[in-house]
Amino acid sequence: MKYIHNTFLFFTTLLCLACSDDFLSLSPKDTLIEDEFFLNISDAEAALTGVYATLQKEEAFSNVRDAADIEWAISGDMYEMDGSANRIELHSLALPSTNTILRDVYSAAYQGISRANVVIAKVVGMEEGEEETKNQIIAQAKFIRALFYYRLVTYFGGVPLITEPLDANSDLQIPRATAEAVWQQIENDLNEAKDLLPTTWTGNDVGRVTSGACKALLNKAYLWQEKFDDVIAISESLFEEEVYTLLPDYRSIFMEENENNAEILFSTQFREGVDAEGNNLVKRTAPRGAPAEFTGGAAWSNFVPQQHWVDAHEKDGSGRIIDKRYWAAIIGPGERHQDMSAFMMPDNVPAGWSHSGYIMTKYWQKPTLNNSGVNAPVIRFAEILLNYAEALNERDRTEESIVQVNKVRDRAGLADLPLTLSKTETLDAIFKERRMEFIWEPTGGFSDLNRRGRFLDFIEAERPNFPSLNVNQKPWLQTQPILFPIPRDAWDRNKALEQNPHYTF
Amino acid sequence: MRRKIYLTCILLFFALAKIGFAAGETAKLRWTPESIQQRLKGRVVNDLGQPISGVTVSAKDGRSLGVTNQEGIFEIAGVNIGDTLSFSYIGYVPNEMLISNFETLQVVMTSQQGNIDEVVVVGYGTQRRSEMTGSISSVKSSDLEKVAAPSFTSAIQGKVPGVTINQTTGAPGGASSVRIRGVGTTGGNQPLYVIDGFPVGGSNIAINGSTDNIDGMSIVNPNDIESIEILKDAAAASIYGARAANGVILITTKRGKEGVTSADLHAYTGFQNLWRQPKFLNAEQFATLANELYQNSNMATNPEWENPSSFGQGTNWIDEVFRTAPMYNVDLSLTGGNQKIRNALSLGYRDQQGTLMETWNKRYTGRANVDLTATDRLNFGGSLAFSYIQGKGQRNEDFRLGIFNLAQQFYPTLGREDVVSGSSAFYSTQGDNPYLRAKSMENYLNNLRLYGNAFGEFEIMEGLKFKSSIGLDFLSNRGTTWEPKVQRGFYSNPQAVLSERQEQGLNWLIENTLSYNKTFDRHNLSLIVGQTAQKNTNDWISITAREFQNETIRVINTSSESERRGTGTGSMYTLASYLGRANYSFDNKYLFSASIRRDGSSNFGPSYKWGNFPSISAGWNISEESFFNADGAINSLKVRASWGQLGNDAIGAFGYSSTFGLGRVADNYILGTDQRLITGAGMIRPGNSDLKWETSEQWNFGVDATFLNGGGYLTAEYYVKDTRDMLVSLPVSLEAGFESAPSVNGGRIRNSGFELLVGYGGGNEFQYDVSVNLSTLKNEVLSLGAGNPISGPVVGFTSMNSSYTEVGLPIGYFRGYVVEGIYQSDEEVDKTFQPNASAGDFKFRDVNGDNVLSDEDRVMLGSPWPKLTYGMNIDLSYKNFDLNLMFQGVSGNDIFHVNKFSTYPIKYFGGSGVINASADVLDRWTSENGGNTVPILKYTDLNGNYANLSSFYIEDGSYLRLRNFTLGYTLPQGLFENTNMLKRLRVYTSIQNLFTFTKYSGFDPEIGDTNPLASGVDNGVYPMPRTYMFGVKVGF
Repeated sequence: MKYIHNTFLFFTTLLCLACSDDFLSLSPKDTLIEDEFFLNISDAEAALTGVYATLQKEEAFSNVRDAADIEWAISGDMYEMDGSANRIELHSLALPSTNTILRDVYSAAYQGISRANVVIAKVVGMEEGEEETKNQIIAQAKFIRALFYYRLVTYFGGVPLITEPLDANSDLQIPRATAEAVWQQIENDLNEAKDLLPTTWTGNDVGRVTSGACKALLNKAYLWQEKFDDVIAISESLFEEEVYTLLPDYRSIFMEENENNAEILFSTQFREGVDAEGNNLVKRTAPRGAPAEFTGGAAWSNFVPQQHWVDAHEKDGSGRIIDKRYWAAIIGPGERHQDMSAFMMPDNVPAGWSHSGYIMTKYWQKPTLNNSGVNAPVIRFAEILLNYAEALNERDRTEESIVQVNKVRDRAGLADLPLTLSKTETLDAIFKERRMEFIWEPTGGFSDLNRRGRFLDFIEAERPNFPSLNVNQKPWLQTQPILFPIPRDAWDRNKALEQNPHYTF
Repeated sequence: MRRKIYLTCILLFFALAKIGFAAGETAKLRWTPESIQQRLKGRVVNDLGQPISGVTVSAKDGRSLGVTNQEGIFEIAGVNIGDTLSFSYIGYVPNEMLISNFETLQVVMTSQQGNIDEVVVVGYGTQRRSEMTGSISSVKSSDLEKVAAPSFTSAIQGKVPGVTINQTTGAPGGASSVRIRGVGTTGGNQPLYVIDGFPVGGSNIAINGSTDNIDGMSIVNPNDIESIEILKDAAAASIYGARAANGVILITTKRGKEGVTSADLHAYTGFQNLWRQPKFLNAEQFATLANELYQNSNMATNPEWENPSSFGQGTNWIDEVFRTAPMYNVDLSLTGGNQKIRNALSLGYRDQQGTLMETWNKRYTGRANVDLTATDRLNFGGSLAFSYIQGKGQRNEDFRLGIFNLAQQFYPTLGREDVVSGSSAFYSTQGDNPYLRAKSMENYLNNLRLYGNAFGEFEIMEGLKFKSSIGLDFLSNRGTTWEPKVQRGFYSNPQAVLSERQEQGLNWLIENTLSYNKTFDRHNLSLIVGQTAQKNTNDWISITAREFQNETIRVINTSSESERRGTGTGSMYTLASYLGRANYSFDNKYLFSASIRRDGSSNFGPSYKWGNFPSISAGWNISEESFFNADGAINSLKVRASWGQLGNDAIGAFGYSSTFGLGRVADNYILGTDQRLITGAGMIRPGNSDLKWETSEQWNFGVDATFLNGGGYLTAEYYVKDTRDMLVSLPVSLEAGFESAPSVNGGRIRNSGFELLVGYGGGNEFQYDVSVNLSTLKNEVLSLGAGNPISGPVVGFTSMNSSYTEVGLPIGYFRGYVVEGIYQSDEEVDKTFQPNASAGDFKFRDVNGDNVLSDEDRVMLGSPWPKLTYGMNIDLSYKNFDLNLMFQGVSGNDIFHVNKFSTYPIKYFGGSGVINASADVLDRWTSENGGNTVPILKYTDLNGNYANLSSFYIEDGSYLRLRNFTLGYTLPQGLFENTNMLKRLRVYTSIQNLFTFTKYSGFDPEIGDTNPLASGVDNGVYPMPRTYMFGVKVGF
């Protein structure tokens, strides 16, 4: 019996021994868990890099969804080549809340904001690290947060204002804030950030947010709110830095070998390659069906400049366009590519290459096999000059305003505007300049016109298909400013959201 | 540290076994009565070699001499040589035996029709069916043999009530989705697979670069399977606790039997082809309709298509990419054994070509099972199996570039080797010639699985046993994808790409159980307690390289060094458990069972690591009562009921903590004058410290009966299965900006249904067995955590959600607008309601009558879940001929035929130009003829005829299929009497999917997906083939 007793004892012990909690407490092999992160500056830097990374999405600041699909296709100066449903909805001003482009832009903005919120909240509480370094990290995150909120408030109006990290237990039924509150947050973030950041970065840090970038975005924010005195003040504060200037040659602003030049206040950084560190700008601009030796891999010519936009350029007596910007950024029938002289647009451009006959070459500079490395400009010095000019003009300093406009015109090889123009004529001239200066950039298109309530008049005057747009049957175009619908997917998950007037979910 | 303890345990066990051996010898001496020569010992087994306990052994005069114990062993006294013993037990044909000496008797009893009292494998043991109180369905090897299928999942499809199996692809070796009693969760919903007691991962195997999935369970050769048990209710499954919420499938492989030596060769060959081919526009029709589309849109037409009639029929691209595909299979199995050692060895080889070109699957399997009786008290055993699967797959379920999708879209005006070279405005510039594409893409799989276990079992004293086993499961999975540098018309791949992915996994399990069985008087008691621990590690690396010096040498080394990118990661999972179960029965009449499992899983945070999963059940064998007349119409009758709780931890790891990704593409950024890549980090998923088990609570009520002299059999069950704290990645507000949603316990889902299996069999020379099974299913979401509905994944290239889940309706139903017809004129259009519509567009229904087309007009359009699934199995044999017919069907389910998005509009959905379309588009609306089924052909779809999910896409998914037809002939026994070699020879011919009745307009109504939120969505699923086979089975 002793044997049985012993055996029992052994097995009982064995069963009890079995497993303790440390066997069940694992750490992930491929990710960091919260407790192990934000311990030192290198973690904080990595998290900040992650915030920058959110800019690279096509739906964020990569000059695709914003610049092409929304800004320039809605204003109508670029034409959507595919007939793809979501693009046509924007191009034709139908704007249903199910539009996936608007949804993706909305959601990409909040992904950037979410990452910025984590960095801002976590780095403050970090014990390790120099105060100055931590402040600079927080300031950069605040700029990017402000950049995304600027996007949201100008497209959708007041949106849910989230400035703290959220987790699974947070109340995620978040109602919209007022547009004023969002603008206030943008101003606060940028005012704090501009004082903490250097005027320039060097070496491996080139491409980061500078104090100048903060001032430039503040400039845009003030301009949208028509705080013209603030626009003038912040512009002049930026000029005092003497870091940024107009480049003499328009094309060189965009060239891949001349990135982060003195005209660029902020641009999203890309590197050519197979991964998402590159972008699709070349594929989207190069002509579909053209020989691969010039385009590289894929070429989709998703958007092409429209004839009426080309016609709006100033011409000489013989009818030749004198605006250098056209010759630096566009090729039309029978014209040679600026950098690849062996490539000439045929006299009869195949419809698949471009319905209008024109192709934009700002970003298509060379054959590109995979993703292109050309940076996506977000704010340029030319815009600051024109914003400054607009504010001066609104404060009845019209002559000073025209001087600023002429700086931009000089570079384009255009004659100076007379200083005698009226206030209204000057405003029109500023808008004309924006239209010719910023084609396929996130500024100069729909949002600009919308900001000043000029959109409907503009398309009536300029878009040849205006009658077929049935603007009168689209009440959402009658508001000031015109707001996009809150995406249905957002409402699907957050029922606290209210829709903008005249739209349904 | 942990590992050391286990090694020590094992060593101790073996040391102990030695002591036990010695002790056993003494004990035996002590227990053996003096009068050994007057006693007779014997063992009663069923025809599968499994012991039968409780068999009454009686003398010729009816005097009871004893009953068999749990091992089927009896020892009786007072008999003499020349006496006849009779053996009886319910459910078995009574047997008689003449005593010719006092050596140990071996008695084989065969079960009656309907297997009322077969021995059934349950978790951690076996049980007789008459004693069972839970719900377990069994499929025996004899059933599997009737359907020559690559994987057992397809062989049991339609055989078991309550189990819905859908092949998710018709690709060779193709995957399936197995659901037991409905879907109770939006998360992991596939059952737990246990092979010979070892829970293994059964997830489908993906071919890198392809959408073709291989059935994860095809690692088991069906030829090696002795039986499959499906544990359906909580009483049966709760012994597997935390992983049992979706049911458990136990696979028992064939083992060697004492005294039976056999060698069997099974070979078959056959071919497969499409059973149905929906029509697409021919060249003339396509050119005509393309021109019409451009004209309707006031656009220039393509001059190349000016004369549609000049094209004639053109190329049928479905014919070009599909083929009649051969298949071969050879299995060899050897079994043998004596009292001491028993072996079963098998080898198998299968080669299956796919009906779609450039797809195939080859499988090599091997298995060795060994059992060793060391002493009366000590047994050892083990098994080792391997499977090596090679496959070639294609990317199919991809609207834009899938081979099958392309074949439906490509231009009938072009020939087989033609590429698109016309005006890029009229062609889809990213589309590719499907034939040339399939020829150039190479996606290979090399999957090795090596798994097995070893156990030792020691009988401490009579009825008390200790068993210890270890299992190992090793996985090596290699995926290679290759695409050469090509320029095919508008399609170009500017650099050759080679991608090599290597995955390695190791899964180990240790189990220790102590069991006790005792029969005294009319009481029968069995107890088991145990402890298990399991750990799973998995790692992969992948390298993608581009630009090759010489494209015939396809190794990473020959690629351009600057064009190589590597990625890789790993994961881990541990589970620790305690388990216990007690079964008690009195007089075979009153049956009780209770079990509990306590599981700890690494997937959960510190406060919720452990969960308890209890079950209780009871049964009453009414027919054992004295008042029951077993000779009447009903011969046996049992009622049973059970309740229990099961768990589900399939949520992925570390949901309890926020996780940050490091160095992924979405985290990194470029900075600096020299464009340096800076490694970044970003939160992947916010943590939920409250995350815990999903619990499924089940009630089950069942009746088992035999009737009409044992020829008829019936099992009927009703169940209610409630999932609480459903694990779900809740769709969080977009404003939260989470990259992926946190896991939360949100929601409650109820599945309930009725299951019936009824059959009748009998006969002598002409034998027959006909059975029908059917199950109903009602699925309802009772509550959802945050209250907001859950949208299923967005279908690629569309803005349509594959499903919707909300309270009061089935999980993952289809939701959208109702199409009321087509506007016949512009005047008919209500511009307030559909501002962008014009004549020829769909007219949607204003459900709430507010004259605004909004979310409130989206309604339930259908559900992917069949209300009724059924099967009918007919086995007939006459003399040497045998015939099997197996019908299977579903009804009451719908299919979201999202493939129409690409095969109806003619306008290319992914860019400019047009593509080919279904011949149904000939019925389009035109201003001359009107029409109410297909909208007007237009270049832009402002009304969202195709962009909106509507009733246009939803079709009835019911079908009835003759899944199997087999006719066999066994050569008369007499033929082989003079040869020592051949024992048995059967030839057969078999046809699978011979016919299918369905209203569905696509290629095949059998659409499955393991994701419950994307079930029943046909986006170009590789269609099921019809298979013709001829086979021969030889026994030596």
